[in-house]
Amino acid sequence: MSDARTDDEADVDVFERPAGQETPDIGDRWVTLPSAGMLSIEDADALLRWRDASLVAVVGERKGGKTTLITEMYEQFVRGPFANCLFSHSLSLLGFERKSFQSRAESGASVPDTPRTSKQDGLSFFHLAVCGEDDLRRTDLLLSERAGEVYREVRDLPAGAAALTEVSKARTIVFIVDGERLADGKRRAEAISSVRNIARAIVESGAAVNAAEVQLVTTKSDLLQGSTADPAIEALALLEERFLTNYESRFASVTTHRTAARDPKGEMEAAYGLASLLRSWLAAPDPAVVGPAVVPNLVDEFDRLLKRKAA
Amino acid sequence: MDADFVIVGLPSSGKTTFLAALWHLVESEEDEECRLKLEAYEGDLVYLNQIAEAWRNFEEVPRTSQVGDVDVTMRLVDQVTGVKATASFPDLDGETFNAQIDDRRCRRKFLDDVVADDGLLLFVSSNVKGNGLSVVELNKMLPADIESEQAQDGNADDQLGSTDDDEPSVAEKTAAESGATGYAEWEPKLVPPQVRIVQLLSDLLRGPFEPRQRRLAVIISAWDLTRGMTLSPREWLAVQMPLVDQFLRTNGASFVNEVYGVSAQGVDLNDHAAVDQATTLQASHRILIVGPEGEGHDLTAPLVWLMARE
Repeated sequence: MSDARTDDEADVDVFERPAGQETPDIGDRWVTLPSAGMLSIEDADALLRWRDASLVAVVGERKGGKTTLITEMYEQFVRGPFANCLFSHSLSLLGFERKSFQSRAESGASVPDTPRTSKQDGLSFFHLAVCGEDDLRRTDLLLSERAGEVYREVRDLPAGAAALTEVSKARTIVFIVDGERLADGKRRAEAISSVRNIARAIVESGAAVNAAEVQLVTTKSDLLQGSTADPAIEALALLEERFLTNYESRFASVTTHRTAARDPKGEMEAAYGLASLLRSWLAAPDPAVVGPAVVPNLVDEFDRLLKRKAA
Repeated sequence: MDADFVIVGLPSSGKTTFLAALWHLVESEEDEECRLKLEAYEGDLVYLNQIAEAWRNFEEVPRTSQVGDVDVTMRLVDQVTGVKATASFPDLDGETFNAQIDDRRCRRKFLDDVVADDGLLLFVSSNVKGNGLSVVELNKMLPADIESEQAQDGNADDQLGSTDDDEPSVAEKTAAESGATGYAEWEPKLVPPQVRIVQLLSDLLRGPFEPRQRRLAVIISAWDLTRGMTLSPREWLAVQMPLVDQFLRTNGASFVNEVYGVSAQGVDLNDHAAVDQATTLQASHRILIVGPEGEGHDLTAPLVWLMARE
């Protein structure tokens, strides 16, 4: 037997469907199987009742590269181990496939692209479980997928940030800086303003937990190469510096990353910056274990009885 | 003892050819090395004899889709341990496994079989195509003159179908500059084989299937096509189907697995010279199997491994 694990008799990893969600039959011959597309909020809840998963909220305006950032991580696993990790499981495997398709030669496209996420799709999630190459320790990630228009609205109506479920549950909040807009002198100031406004709305709404890690992630860094990109790089460096200064005292961790998930011209290394980004998501602090537990004041007889029993 | 095996595999993955060669092997008793022998010659043997006849005559073995789903049963005895076993192999049309991906439904019979299985035989064709090559990778492989030819064809402005009314994305702009052709619409049938296989196995980890530890023998069929690669079957899996390899490495608690390379047909039936040469061999010696214990003709090795209790 060449199985890598030594604890074969250990718990079998299963996803038990909650009561009331039994699979319906189709006639006598066929049985319906659970969806393998994007996870709804209910699906994500069911997953979290089954096992611990770290939620990553990817936040930014449309066309910033949010979906591409995630699907290109999946695409790396399709090619082999990535970021010292092995692919283990995904409840949204066909969701990854659908969103990756336009980057594949099979699509017939000569330039890779990613389908737009519609506002009507609401909030959904990718599920990606990976194991460390050395210890096979598994970590589950839930990666948020929401149309950029919603985050644009938060800029205009900051109170709406409080309703962003993915943000309030996230262990990692990723604020996307669109490298393409940054590279364009005419759109640079607005690109910076966008991420500044969205981050501010979210932080000041109190939606994000202090135990979270917040990240400033620049996408499409392939467009920030060469001397002509110097003004953009300078502006980005200043934005990163201010981001760190503004939030380092408010969150468990504050980091900045520069990525090029998929350079269409193929000049920059594939998935540039994604390995370290993925590793940071896997190492995100668990808010549940951060800080001492608050012990309620024990006042009545039942409380005292409980205390005596515990002693 | 009874041993109910479940066969899983996409269309044309070599399931029926394996059964045909296996039946010939155990029934003919030609090969002394063969560990499992036929214990009793009884029951309905029409299907087994039909596919084995085609196999012996160097003809294409009829696909399950042509004859319908068939349950095959063989009464076998282990020459080493003396243990007798009734081995059952439900031979399902590969299209039913495609339906599991494309339509998210499975045959009730498959569900029932998996509940009672004593081991899974997963068939994977070594003749895999389209495992997720990216547009960027393809473009790098193309000679420069073909890329420029591509750039002269088509009219991207009409075909990209962008619904946005503001600035186009880099992809759209680059596509427009290069004259890119439009996209094909995604549909589940375009999911690459290795992802389909991972989905088939992943389905067994959740309802309505009964999640538990299973023994899984991965059979890489048409192994003769890989000979130039000098890879072991497990190495081949890591190189050609890395997602499947990673899935198996990280799900050992659910799938205790072993990987075999099998050439059950033994020869390309379109290669007349090779067929002529193969006729000089004992029929059982057309079979090639490569596993953890080396190379041989004993096609029963994966069954012996599946039946082993550790």
